[in-house]
Amino acid sequence: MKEQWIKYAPRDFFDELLTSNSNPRIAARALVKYFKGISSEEMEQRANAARLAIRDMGVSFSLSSKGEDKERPWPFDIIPRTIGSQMWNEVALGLKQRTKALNLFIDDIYNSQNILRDGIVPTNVVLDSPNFKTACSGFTPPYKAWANICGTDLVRDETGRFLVLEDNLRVPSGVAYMLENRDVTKRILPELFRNYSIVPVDDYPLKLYQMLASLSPRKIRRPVIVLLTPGIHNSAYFEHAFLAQSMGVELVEGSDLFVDKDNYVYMHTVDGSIKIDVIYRRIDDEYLDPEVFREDSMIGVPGLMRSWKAKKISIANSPGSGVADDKLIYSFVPEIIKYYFKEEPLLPSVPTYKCSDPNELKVVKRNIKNLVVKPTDGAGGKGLLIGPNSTTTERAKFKRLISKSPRKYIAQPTLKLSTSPTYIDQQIKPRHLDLRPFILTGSKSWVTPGGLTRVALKEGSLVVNSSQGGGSKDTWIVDEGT
Amino acid sequence: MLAQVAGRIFWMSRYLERSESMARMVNAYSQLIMDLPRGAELEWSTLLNIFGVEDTFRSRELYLTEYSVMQFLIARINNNSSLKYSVKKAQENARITRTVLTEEVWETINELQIYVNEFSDRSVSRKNRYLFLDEVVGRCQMVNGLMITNQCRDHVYRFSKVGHLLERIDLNVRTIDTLSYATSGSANRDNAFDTLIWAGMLRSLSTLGMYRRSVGPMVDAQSAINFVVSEETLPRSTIFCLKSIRSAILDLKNNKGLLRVVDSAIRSVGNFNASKMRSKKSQQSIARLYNFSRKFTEEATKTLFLPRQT
Repeated sequence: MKEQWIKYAPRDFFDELLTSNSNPRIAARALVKYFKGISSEEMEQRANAARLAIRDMGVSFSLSSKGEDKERPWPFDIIPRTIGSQMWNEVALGLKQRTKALNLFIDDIYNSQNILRDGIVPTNVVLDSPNFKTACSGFTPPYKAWANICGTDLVRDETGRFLVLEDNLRVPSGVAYMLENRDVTKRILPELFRNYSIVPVDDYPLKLYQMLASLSPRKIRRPVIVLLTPGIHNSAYFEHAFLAQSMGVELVEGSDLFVDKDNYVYMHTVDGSIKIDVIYRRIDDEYLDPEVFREDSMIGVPGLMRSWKAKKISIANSPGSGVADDKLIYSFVPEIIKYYFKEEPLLPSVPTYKCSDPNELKVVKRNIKNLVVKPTDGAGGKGLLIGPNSTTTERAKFKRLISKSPRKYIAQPTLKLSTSPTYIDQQIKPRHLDLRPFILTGSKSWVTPGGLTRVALKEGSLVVNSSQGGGSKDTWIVDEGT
Repeated sequence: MLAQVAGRIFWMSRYLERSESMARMVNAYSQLIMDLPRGAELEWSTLLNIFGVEDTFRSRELYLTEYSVMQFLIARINNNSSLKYSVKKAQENARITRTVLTEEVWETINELQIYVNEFSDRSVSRKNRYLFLDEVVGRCQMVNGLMITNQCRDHVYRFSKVGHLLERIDLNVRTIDTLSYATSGSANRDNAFDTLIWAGMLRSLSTLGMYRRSVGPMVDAQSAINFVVSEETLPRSTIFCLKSIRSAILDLKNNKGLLRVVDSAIRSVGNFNASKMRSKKSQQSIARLYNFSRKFTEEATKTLFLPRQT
């Protein structure tokens, strides 16, 4: 495969493994040397071994198409992506700062609303958001930590610096795949580990458990923690089961729980009802409690909000955290950080135009050909316009949409996202990728070493979501001293 | 059942259990090494110590490298503790006793030996090792499963069970003692990775999942050792194995000596304190547990397996 690597041309994108003259970066030296040295048959063998391992381990995700749920095997690219540990430590500090500020913001919004009163963020932007839940007003969870698990999407621009693309504060997923990616790599490329000091990732379940335990209202040695899943038809079910098993906690559905007259939450077991302390919920706010939110929800627990407000149960992430998980709020995060900490953000955000601002709306319409227009409440990469790849009709449609509902859209310049060598059709090709680290906040905060790297498998594509044909890579934080 | 046949079934099972646990241990150890950074590494000699073969290794091999250790443990027929040797002995004992075994059990053991013979030499390198050892574990577990579901609860079942349990107790004490020695003391060691090491230990004994549900996801040396030695509900724990051996030999004639050995070991577990591994009491318990399999085997050979001289 040597020629493939020599011919590899990153062009004018920052490449994770190779410089513009196709030389390996420091953190990637041993990796590239290894891949250069194996034959194409060998490479194909390893890729097949990975597919088999994933199939045998049952690593899958489900895709709903045409009304039916299909389990798909997890699309994994065997070439890892490397990041030096020094760079990562700086990024981690930035992530902690950002998450802390967002949590203070959420707490402020549901209590004194100082940041609104001081005009830093427009009131209607926050209170008109469908994610602002009046039921959560007047409450503060332990340690003011609302978004206990945050998945912040990062990208790298052509200079190689990391930028925050998006904060996911409701029910962010992907961490199980991050863990399985490492597991598969250890199985199919074990020789690679010999020459590296790669920071291990598999203490995530322990850190998650410790964070959840720190939230328990009862200060007992072993608080009762459960993971609340909507069930096997949910696209992230694999992760729910994986994490419950890794932490040694019960995986429950709504029907396994009930709230008693004393406002405590219990689970039905063959040995009777057992009181629970902490719920790690993977159900959206709207479906959590039919007494308060959607009354047709069959997957929630009636009375859960009652128990939560009475501080008899802790819920991670707290209901109402979504008020900060909104692309419009995202555009105010630098100001939010400055307001609570009087510091500049350590991690830059992608420049963002708010269509809700009339001046910025004009700029967006004028430059729509060069911008990515996103719905503020979107997910899964759907419903967006990628300016440079769009047709005149599509652009016209979007101009109408953003004029009609300006608060529902933001726009960002198309980024020159970094690429990394990816094994496609038995060749090594550059493909764009992003990174989702996870930040845990309880009594302490902690950042995963690396995270889930998602790669767009189509040439030139910037869409990395698995529901739209993306793949993923193992992410290595490499101790460059070795 | 013929006295000698009982002995061979006993040894067949010990060798099968030894093969399975060696395969699992080597895989778990290799996985662990991949996660430990420079400075926190475990030595390859530690793995040799777990199997009690460091001295033999040093007398035969010149270099202590990953490859030479793996070759020694997996493929060298002149090492009495190697995987290849254990599988060969299991098959030999099964062949002589095949008339009392079911066809499926005999064939599965025989096929295991053919597989190991064919693939062990090329399964020493990191690249091929994982799948090979995983396959070996699977086939050994198949034999266990066949025994449990199809074998009448007769002497064959009894001595097979005892042989398996004995090896389990042996490996438990060697693993715990070797690892706690390797992770203690030295000022240069980085203790931040001890959690990984003890989780790896639990994984090597197939007990990590059960530990997580019973104790929690935090793995510290004390809790892990305690779980593996004293957890009454865990089929792989030392105490469970000892009590199972006891009930298996209870209705044998001539079992007084054996019962004495087993009861002494059960008392040792009672005196063992995972939080004071280096205390005199705990060290005594460990020493007794180390000697258990030898003492039991000697007694069983004397009273049960040797044909009586008239």
